[in-house]
Amino acid sequence: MNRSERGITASRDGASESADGLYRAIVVAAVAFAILALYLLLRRGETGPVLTPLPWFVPVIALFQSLALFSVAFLALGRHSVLRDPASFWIGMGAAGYGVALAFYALTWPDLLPGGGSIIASLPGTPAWFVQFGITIFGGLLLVAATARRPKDEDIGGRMLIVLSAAWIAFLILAFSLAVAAEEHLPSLVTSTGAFTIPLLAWNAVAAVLFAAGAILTTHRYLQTRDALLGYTAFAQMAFAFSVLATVGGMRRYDLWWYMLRVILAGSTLAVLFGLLMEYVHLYSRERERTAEVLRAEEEKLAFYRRTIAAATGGKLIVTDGHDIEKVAGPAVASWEIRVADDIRGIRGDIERIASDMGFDQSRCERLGIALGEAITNVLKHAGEGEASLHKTDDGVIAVVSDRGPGIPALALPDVALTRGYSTAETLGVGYKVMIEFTDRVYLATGDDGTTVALEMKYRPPEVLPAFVSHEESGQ
Amino acid sequence: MIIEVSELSKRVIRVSGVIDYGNAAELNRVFESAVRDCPRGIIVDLSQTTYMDSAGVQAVLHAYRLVTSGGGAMAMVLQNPNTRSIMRISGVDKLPGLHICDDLACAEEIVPECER
Repeated sequence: MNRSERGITASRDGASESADGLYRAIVVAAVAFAILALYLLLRRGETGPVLTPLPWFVPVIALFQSLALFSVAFLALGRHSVLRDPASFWIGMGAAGYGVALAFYALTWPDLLPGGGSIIASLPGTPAWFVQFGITIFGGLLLVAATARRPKDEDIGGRMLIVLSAAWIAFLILAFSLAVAAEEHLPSLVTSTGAFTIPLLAWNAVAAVLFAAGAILTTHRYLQTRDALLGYTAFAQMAFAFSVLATVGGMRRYDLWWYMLRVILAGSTLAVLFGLLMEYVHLYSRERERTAEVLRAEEEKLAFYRRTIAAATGGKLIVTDGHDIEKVAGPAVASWEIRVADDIRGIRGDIERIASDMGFDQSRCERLGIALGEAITNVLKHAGEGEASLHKTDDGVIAVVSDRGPGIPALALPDVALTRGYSTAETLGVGYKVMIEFTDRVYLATGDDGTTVALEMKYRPPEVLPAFVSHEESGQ
Repeated sequence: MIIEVSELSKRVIRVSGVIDYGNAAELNRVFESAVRDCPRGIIVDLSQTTYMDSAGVQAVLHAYRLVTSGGGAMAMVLQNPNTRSIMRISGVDKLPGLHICDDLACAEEIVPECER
């Protein structure tokens, strides 16, 4: 809750840049990467031993990282399609781009399989140009993500997004083919001894700037929005900036540092994925809090509503639920089915007779009968069929009439309780008013699964306390 | 329910017995033909009614609309205290141009004779 509140305020005023745990971690990581980069620059030229044969875990890490990038792309683009948030669109596209490059790199790795083949034997080895292209695309689009205001609402819809992603991947495959075809004619990026050439170093210097600038902007944007995706993306950008910078610092392909950087890069990709998942977790907890709040508000509304109706009817109409009615009524002494209009007369007659035998006076029997007639009529009108039962209580009877109809809409209930006079004559209101006036208390439980009305009649009318004006008097 | 339309004066409809959801439609039809016959007004005599619920109120309202839309008068004879209560609860007793009487004589003074 704390977090979401902060997020709302932060994005509203846009400039409250207070530190939090993730931000502190970003700063610490930035310092650590800077020290490490400095160290690499100072020991320039002293490269470690080149490992041969090339270990299997290099392509495995690449493959793993590529899968992580595809997950990021999927989740980020999915998030964009729901939230229409430009940052996740560009992060998704960038991750897809680098993911494709790494997938080619891993799948065309020579000697990966036992017996010495690559996974896709028919494909030529991935040109260094293509991998460089992928990493630069990634850096560029992450930079765009930190600043972009578009695409927003209506720019790119769900189907458009799928088409666009497919086109993007198709373009990358085309770029792969072009890189393969043109590799011979392009300047070499890596010498046969594994040293990096000037074009690659220059390229990486540019890429390092892309990632470093991106990291700063993303961190800034994170402080504005407190979006965990951006916070963790800043980690990835720092790691990438460091790793491309490290090549300029004199690292060679396949030396110890080179391997270590693979691991750092894969880890930073996981950080982006982690950031996305954190947002989902936050979203889920926010959603739960909101649901709980809505439920609480609903309950309060219902309680308010029940008390208002009870107060307006002098405590004679109690809106409740079916279980409470069962509890109040106790076991049935007799029950009837309501099917046709003639049942009104039949059930009414039976109940009036039973009540009379129990000692109710004539007038109270008749009044119970009329109230019952109203309840049964409502069943026939609104549900078609239902049932009635009679229950004995300590000081009288309760007649319960229930159906499985559509229920009384909540908004109609105040009319039942509050409206007076002719305006209710043609609504559900009259019937309920008659029930309320003619019995001692009416319990009403209504919902999607039907309506239950319980009519309570005591042997003697309850004494009305002087503090209350009876409904009958106030109706005059 | 027994509906009697007076032979002497077709404007008097006496309903005895039970009026409920099961027979209110029949009552509506009788009211309709009575208003056609006596557009100047009708008398609904419920003094012999033993049971009536809001289905009866609907029928009375139906008759009231037919009569007043033609400019006629309407009177009701009520004796049963429960029926009186129901008329009061539903607000029918306050309708302009609908007179409530304790006996037929009172009602016959209010509603003019049928012309036809």
